[in-house]
Amino acid sequence: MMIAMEPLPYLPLVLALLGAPMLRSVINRTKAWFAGRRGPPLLQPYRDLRKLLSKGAVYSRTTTWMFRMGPAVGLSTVIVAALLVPMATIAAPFAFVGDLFLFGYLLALGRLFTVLAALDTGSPFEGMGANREVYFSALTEPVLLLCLATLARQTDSLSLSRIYPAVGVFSWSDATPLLVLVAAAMLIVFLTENARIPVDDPTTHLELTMIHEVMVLDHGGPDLAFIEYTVALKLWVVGQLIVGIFVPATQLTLWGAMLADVVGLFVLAVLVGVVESTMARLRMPNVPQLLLGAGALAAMAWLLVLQVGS
Amino acid sequence: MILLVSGLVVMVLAGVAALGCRRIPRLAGTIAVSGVLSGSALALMGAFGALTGRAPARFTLSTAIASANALANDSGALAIDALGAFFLLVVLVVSSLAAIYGLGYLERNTRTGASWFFFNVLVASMAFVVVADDGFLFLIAWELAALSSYFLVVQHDERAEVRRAGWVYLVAAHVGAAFLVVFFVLLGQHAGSLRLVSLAGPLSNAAPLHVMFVCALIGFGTKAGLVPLHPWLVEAYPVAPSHVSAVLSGAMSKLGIYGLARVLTLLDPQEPWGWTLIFVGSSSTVLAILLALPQRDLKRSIAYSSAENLGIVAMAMGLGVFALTRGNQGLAVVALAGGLLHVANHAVFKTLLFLAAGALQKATGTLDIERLGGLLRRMPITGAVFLVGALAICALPPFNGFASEFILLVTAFDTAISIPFPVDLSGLIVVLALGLASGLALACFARLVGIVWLGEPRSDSASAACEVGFLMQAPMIVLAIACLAIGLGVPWMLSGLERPIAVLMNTSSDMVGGVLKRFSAASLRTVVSVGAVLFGTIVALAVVRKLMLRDREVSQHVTWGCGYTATSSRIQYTGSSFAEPITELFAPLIPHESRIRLPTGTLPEAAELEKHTLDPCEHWLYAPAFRTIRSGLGSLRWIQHGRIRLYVLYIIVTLLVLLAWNVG
Amino acid sequence: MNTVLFEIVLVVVMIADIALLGTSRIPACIRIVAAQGITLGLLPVVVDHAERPHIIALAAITVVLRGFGFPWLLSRSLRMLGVPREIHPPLGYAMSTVLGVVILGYCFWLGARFEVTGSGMTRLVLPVALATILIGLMITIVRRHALMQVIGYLALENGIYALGVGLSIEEQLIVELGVLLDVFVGVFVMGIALHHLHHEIERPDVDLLDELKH
Repeated sequence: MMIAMEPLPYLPLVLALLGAPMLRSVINRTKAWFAGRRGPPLLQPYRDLRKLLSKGAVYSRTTTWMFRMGPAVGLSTVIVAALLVPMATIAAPFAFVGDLFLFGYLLALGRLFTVLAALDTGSPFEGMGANREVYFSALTEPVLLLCLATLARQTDSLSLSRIYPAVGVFSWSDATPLLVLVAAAMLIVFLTENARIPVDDPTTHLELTMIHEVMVLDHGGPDLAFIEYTVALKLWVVGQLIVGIFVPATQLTLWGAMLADVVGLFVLAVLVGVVESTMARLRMPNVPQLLLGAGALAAMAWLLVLQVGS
Repeated sequence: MILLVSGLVVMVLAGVAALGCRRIPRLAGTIAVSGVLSGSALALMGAFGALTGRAPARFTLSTAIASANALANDSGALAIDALGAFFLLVVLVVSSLAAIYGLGYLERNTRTGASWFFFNVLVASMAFVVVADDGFLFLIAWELAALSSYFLVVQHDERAEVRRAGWVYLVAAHVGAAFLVVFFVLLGQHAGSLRLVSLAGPLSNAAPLHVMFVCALIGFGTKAGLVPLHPWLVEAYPVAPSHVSAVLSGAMSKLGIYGLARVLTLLDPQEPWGWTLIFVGSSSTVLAILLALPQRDLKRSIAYSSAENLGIVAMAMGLGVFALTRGNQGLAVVALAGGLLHVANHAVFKTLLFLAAGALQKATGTLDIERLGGLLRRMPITGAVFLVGALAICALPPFNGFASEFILLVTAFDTAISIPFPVDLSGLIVVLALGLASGLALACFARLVGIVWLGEPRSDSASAACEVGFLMQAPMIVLAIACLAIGLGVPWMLSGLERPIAVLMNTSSDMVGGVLKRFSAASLRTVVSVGAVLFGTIVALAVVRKLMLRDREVSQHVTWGCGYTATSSRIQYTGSSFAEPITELFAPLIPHESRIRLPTGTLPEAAELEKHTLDPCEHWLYAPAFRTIRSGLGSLRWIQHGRIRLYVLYIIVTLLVLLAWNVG
Repeated sequence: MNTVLFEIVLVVVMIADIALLGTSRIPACIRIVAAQGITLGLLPVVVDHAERPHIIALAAITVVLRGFGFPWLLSRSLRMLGVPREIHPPLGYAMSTVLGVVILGYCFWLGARFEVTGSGMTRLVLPVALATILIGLMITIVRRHALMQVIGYLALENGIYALGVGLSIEEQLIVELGVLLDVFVGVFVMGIALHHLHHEIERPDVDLLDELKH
């Protein structure tokens, strides 16, 4: 597998970098519509980012270089992870056998630095958020790997850029239930990774109930801009893994497939908004049960893929 | 070969000299350490040829000064081949760095000379184990290593828990060695010879093949600390002086893996062994890191994660066995490459972690994480290298731990996808075990780094800590750089592993080299480039941030306390709170004893909660077993009644019976 | 298209099995086992293209009884008993879910061992049916609330039904009607027993049944 030198493979990255904040505004608009409001303008996240980037910063006296480095490392890991994910039939710039593991571990690296930056403040709130974050992510790792293993077995390949073009709605004729199960399990992983309801509420104001929000409580200025942008980019990049299951990349033209992909991402954003507006957040002891349920779905998909093959 | 032997002799002599001048502790230490360093250098020079491709050289003790081509005299021979040279390199590098560290670490009193003597003997005997070509010599070296390490472990024997840990260590080491004796006896009976290195081919048609493998697995698994043979490890490693813990975990546990690797060359691999290794490896991986999470003693937590990493190596070997039994050479090469690379990687980052823990102990006087905190500010170098070690052990890119786990994951996925049922299940088990374990390891080390190094100090000894001396810093910095270098230089590391793997698989190194080159080209080079891109992006973003904040107001304030103004270090999250949700979820696997005294009545009063997590294997397996043995033997107490006349009677009766048996 | 529908039905049955193991609220469990019954009732229609009238009749009876009849009976008993929540089971919900997935895998392995003649569709039915039977039995063993015992029994019967459809026994109608009668009588008797039990022991916990000995 080669490192791409032409410009086309980098197009998905550019799209992601430009369009990611828009996903958040779509989610917010959907939630506003359910609440009977008009909601913030679609370009609001970009204005927020610009405002934050122009500010100064206040640091806690307890913190060290770890706190200052955390947001930069978090953003870098998500940007580099985006370089591993294909879009439509365009292979990722860094595609190779086993790139799905590097993807998972890059996100883990970003998570560790966010957690350590949170613990650096010496505040019990951040400690609580860090604790919950590592707890839930320890349970999502095997589920994500199992989903990817099922897809890998279905398409007989170990690289994201080979797997995703090979699955799509029209390949569903012989593998529908399997792909639905995988998509459902990955949706739950997506909601956990991005700290959305039913795992975490991004709009709560109570520090004791937050997970992701409380870890970044003491950041401000450009650091907070990095963090907000990381959240948006992660929505795009992890969402790409789910949308790719549906987009029939090989049956459409290149631009048609890319359009379908982007539309799919926004449909996913609307879906997240709907889930956030209609469901309450789960009690924290029940979240492992949810993740276990996702694991059971992924296990069922694996058993089905064994049957289909043998 | 002469060089190698002379290197070992130099080490031992330096140790004796250190014992001799123990009244001048500083001199003793310096002599011993220079002995270790020069001895290692000599030995590695002697082994260099084996690693780069010359045929294995033999050395027979009976013709001490003769050249390498001595007569094929089976007893008392030493030999070095590529596999042995690899392990020798790992053992000696770890020991040398730990020795330099130890020079700055050990307090200078009259015990230091004896301590250095045992240290040198330990290093020399570990090297001896790796070069022994005769089963008998192997066992002698093994026992020597166990004994010398025992004396090192109980160095602070004024404390009761140290004495107890030493006792547990001695018992476990000898139970393991007993199984090894059985293994070698059976091997000698069926293979006809006890030669380890220069053997013709693997044994495949002996009847007790499975029994031999099980004995070897128990014997070597005890040394490696695979679950359920690990409880001695978590008792002994924390109480030993830190440079000794580093040598035990970084070097001696690898001898267990070395033994298992030799067994795979001596006996023809069978499929059930693959299942056993996968089962033992995966339970080791998951259970050990789960038990590492609630530990309050820093070194105990790190010791448990040793068992986790060696479980990963066992899983790699299991996948390799499956590939070998199916004739899938390419997959076997990659699996074994992952295993051997993880051996080297673990030696590097585990040594680093133990040395950093030792520096912590020296600076603050305690290893209790609930008494530490905020040390990154006060010990910046030690903190930075501990962070590097934590990143490496959590298998995060671009460090070395990621490289070996990546290789293993690719192999496991490949097994799960392409090999027919039921072996593909083994690949799936490995994938799930690694996924769960890496998540738990992230939690464990986020806790250790966060509670110990970040936040505010939780005790006065923590706030008074200052950075340790250069002798202790230098080895740690070298190891940290190695973590990164190995991670970024994996393709070159793999080409160095060609010959050891070829020995392990009994094939040519060209075939092995070809497979490894293809794998590097397919995956590893891109992994390394992604690592480089990651670095570049982090640096770029950091520069951007610095530029942005340059002309703006940047101030300092206290941490947000939700309006609470009497903040102290006690409001921080504690280590036990951090671990609690996860240990609750896995509660059936982790026994604990708790004592709780709640307030009675309506008014608030003092309450008490004490909770200890216990090791499940020790609590449910070994403790009851040993209690049963003790009570069973207790019923035979009546024999020891103390009356001398009856003892004389016993002797005479025994003699008469033996006489009758012999004559009749 | 047929194969896909068939697979979807079986996947729904599988999900219902695991959901039963992980749910603590009894009204939810009743609804899950009802949904499982309805889906299974539709199974012969999917398999046989609904050509023969007695297949449709059978499907209708099954759906009505399993989907609405038994759940109604159970809800009535539940209202009488009062507490709709399960007493905490000895095994724990997380462990039960994991065990359920293991049982599912074991049944798939068993299914691969059997020499089942037929199309790909029937190859999937055997493992799922077996798993439903085993999980129904497991619910009976693991849970303590009296009503969960009945639900476990219903899941067991669902599994037997699925097995019958999958193996395409001739004269399916008579066999299935017999089984339905069985289930009906069983549920009825259990309802009566629960009614009397309610007056004897304080909680519908089957572990307390040994009080009746004294």
